[in-house]
Amino acid sequence: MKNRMKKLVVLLAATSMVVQLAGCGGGTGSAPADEAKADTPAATQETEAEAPAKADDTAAASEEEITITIWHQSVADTDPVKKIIEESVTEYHELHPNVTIEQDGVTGEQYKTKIKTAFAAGEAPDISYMFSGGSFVKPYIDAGYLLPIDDYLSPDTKSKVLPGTLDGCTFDGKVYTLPTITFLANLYCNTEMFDAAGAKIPTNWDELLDAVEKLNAAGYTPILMGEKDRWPGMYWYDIISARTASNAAIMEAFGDPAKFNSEGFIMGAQKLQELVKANAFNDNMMSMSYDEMIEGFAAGQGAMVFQANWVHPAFQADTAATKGKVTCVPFPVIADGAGSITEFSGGSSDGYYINANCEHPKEAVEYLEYLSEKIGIVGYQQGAGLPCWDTTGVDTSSLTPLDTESAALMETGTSYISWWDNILSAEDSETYKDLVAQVMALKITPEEFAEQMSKLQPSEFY
Amino acid sequence: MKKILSNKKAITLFVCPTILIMLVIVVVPIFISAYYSMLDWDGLGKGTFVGLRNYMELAGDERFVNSIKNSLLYVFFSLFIQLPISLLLAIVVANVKRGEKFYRTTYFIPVIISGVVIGQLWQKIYNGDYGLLNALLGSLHLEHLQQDWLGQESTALIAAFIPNLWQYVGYHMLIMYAGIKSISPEIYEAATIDGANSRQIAFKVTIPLLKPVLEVCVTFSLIGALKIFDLIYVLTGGGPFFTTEVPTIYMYKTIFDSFHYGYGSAISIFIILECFVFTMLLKLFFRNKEEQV
Amino acid sequence: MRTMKHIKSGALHICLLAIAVIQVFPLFWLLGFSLKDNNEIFGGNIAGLPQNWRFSNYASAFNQANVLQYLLNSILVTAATILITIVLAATAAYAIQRMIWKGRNIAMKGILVGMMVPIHAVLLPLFIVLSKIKLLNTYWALIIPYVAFGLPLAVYLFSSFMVSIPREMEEAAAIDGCNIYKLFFRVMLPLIRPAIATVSIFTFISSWNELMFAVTFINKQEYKTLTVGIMSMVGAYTTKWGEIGAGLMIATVPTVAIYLLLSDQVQNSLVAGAVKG
Repeated sequence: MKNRMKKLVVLLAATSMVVQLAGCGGGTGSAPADEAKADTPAATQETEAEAPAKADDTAAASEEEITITIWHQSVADTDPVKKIIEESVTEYHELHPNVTIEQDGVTGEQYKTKIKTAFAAGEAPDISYMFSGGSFVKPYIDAGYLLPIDDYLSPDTKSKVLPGTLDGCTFDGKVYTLPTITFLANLYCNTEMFDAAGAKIPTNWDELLDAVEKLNAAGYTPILMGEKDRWPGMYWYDIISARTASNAAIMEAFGDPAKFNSEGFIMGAQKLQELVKANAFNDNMMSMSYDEMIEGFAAGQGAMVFQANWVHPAFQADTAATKGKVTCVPFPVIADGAGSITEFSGGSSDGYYINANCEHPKEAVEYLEYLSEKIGIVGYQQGAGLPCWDTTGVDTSSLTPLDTESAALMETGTSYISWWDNILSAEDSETYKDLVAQVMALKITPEEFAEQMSKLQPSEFY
Repeated sequence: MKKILSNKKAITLFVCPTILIMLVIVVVPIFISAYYSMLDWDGLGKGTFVGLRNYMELAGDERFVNSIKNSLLYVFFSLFIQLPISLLLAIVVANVKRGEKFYRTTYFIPVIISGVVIGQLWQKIYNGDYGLLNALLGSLHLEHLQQDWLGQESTALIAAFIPNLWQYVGYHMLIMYAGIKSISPEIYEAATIDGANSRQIAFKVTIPLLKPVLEVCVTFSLIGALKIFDLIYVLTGGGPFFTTEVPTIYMYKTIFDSFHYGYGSAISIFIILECFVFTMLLKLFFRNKEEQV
Repeated sequence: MRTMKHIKSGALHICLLAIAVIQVFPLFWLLGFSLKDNNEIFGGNIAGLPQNWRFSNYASAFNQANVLQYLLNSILVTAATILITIVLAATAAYAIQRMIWKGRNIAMKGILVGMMVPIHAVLLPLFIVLSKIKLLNTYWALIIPYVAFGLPLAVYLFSSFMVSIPREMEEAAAIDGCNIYKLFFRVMLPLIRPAIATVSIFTFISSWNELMFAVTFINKQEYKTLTVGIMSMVGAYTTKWGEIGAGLMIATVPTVAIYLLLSDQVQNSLVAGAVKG
């Protein structure tokens, strides 16, 4: 277990990146942030010397009735975090009778719309969920809407968070949130179909192609792909290029996109097209949604899917045809590629961020510490994701075989890169996903793809 | 009478609440949007005023032009396929001897069902793997016609239009049906006595008398078509490769996915103006027609 | 000749019936959908009956979507929306259609512009307006926008209906000494009852199913509506679609019931109101 934690540390340190390095360039970012500070003196203006005094003030007034609002996207019963948040509301009120937590949530598109509108109109909650850090949260920080929490964090918390995991929560040198759980993408294989087709679970590219051929011959769809939503295809290019170009080269290219126009990235696109030409994907991939892909795999419509470990509940549901028949493996290596099997895709952490206008920043941070740890540990126990907190002595008997398998895979990792749409700007993410879709539809050549990618803006994170 | 009907206080009392609510909830937000449309703004931080630059960029934006083409095509389908079907059904149902009430009631049902349900249903109908449509083709031994209806560029646009067209056929049918029923029976009797057959009656009597109702349907249909969003968004999300994108979807993605609030607002103002201009043109068209008659 | 006619009419009825089946099919499909699990829904059993009737979907939907409370909210919001829309639209339509003042045409056109606005575009401005007038997180945050976006159609329907009502009634009442308010409430209002049914059903459909405003303008559990409750069953990464189907079924039943209840009135009103269109 200890070993696993160490790996995780490497993982988060690597993915989370680097924000500090890029921080200096953020001239546009700092100006509005200062303005926001002016609006909220209580929140951010104190110097380090004033901070303890401030803390005392609030401690004296701690009997005052306080309401803290939190918005999140864990609303469905299928999401273990839903229960954790709901329980945290009652538990926290018992622990701190003067603090009432009001939680509200909705998922996906609706959450994005809601949170953006609320922030733009100045009606955002005290604490809000932000999609796994990175570029989603950056505009909010640049606009000065979110509160750096360095001054409020207790040393105790910092010691319980796995070392290095805070890096992903740090932007421009300031800590904005605490890590919770993290996700890693792996290749999920339906063992029943592999056996029936006489195929071997692939460890390298040739074996993958061989498996595709055998599965096709046996009448199975080798790989399910929900490219209607475009990000499932992105995951494939993310990992293939980690194999052909290596994570190190990807990181360099984020900082200098001209480097996307190089052999490793062209080869990645070629490999993806190789799979398309080998009929590896379902014919209707362009109209299949993410949901149809995941539920289709769970219903036994395809033999492989490349996704993050949040799909476990679907694959192991009592009603799923795949229950007990799924194994997860690292993405196969590619012989001539520069990457190795220990380079992973994923690793960033979802987080909850505090509003710069929050009236009770101290209490909000205390709740954030409480909630983040709870999600990190209980969420891990319930298979929601992999922990970013010290789980020494935590009972892991509730983990399912898939959870254990994916956690074990993580131990082997040497390098991690988050999904690219977390790293590229909102606009470039759209461009990238569209380009991958065009590669998969064989509408553009690998060379054209690389050429287009080289025109992206340098990422703020690398 | 005239004096009573010119009661200023009553007019104020009757009209002001409506005008006020429309001003606050509709007109003011339109003006705010118009202001946003002149900003270079991500919707979060501070925007920069750029005047009409967003509109100028729209003019040269291929994706935008393509989305307009798509929505105009949809307008065409609405006006020249959906409405004629509605009209045909209305005439037939209005003249049917038995089951008139049953038909007019059931035909309206899709209108009252939530778009979420309709979207889910059509996704299952079109599913390239196990969809109903492909299954039907299979059972008719037309396997060569089976395809991924929403996933390929050649069929996606039409496939995404059909559920929309279908859902509102009953809506327009009901309005037209009502129009037909309100035509005095004596007119029909007179036509029958003159020896007109049912087709002649339809074209020479019913349709001309229905013109005001048709104008309403055409207007509603036109505005609805230019604002079409939900079902296409659920079915294809504008894809594959923007082939099914309409201006409202492009606007939504620009604002909420790409964080270009200013540019997206310019699209929304364009949509409002587009609706307005088309409605005016329709008015002129129908007025001219009336004068010719 | 006679048999020919019979065959023709028989064929016609078969066609009409076939169309009726297509139109009602979504309801039956939804019923089946709501009783299946993901494995069946995504496993290809689209139109067939569930192999395993999962009534538990309804139980989960009831718990998860907080159905009872949200249903009450939906009813409250929708009822208030319908009521206010009717009062405002009927009075405005009367003033525009019957009364004599300058600017009638402009008022009518202005109101109709409301139909042309794509709602996603006004989401943020409207949010700001509502927050400025302190209405966010109240029932009014939904009722007022629903009324505003329902008014154009309602005013339109009422005014076209009023055109068809002969003026003699009002004239007679005026001679009897009725003032304008009595003219409207005692004479006109009873006459436009069928149109009220029509406006009710159209307003009902749009506000009952509305999602965008309901998600964005309400953050408190106590004011959420049923559509939001159903959407909250959509998970970030996994969703039990059968339960969503059950939620949708629960939401659809009242719609169908109200439509069937009002449909005669609706048709009567449209018939009467269609004279001018």
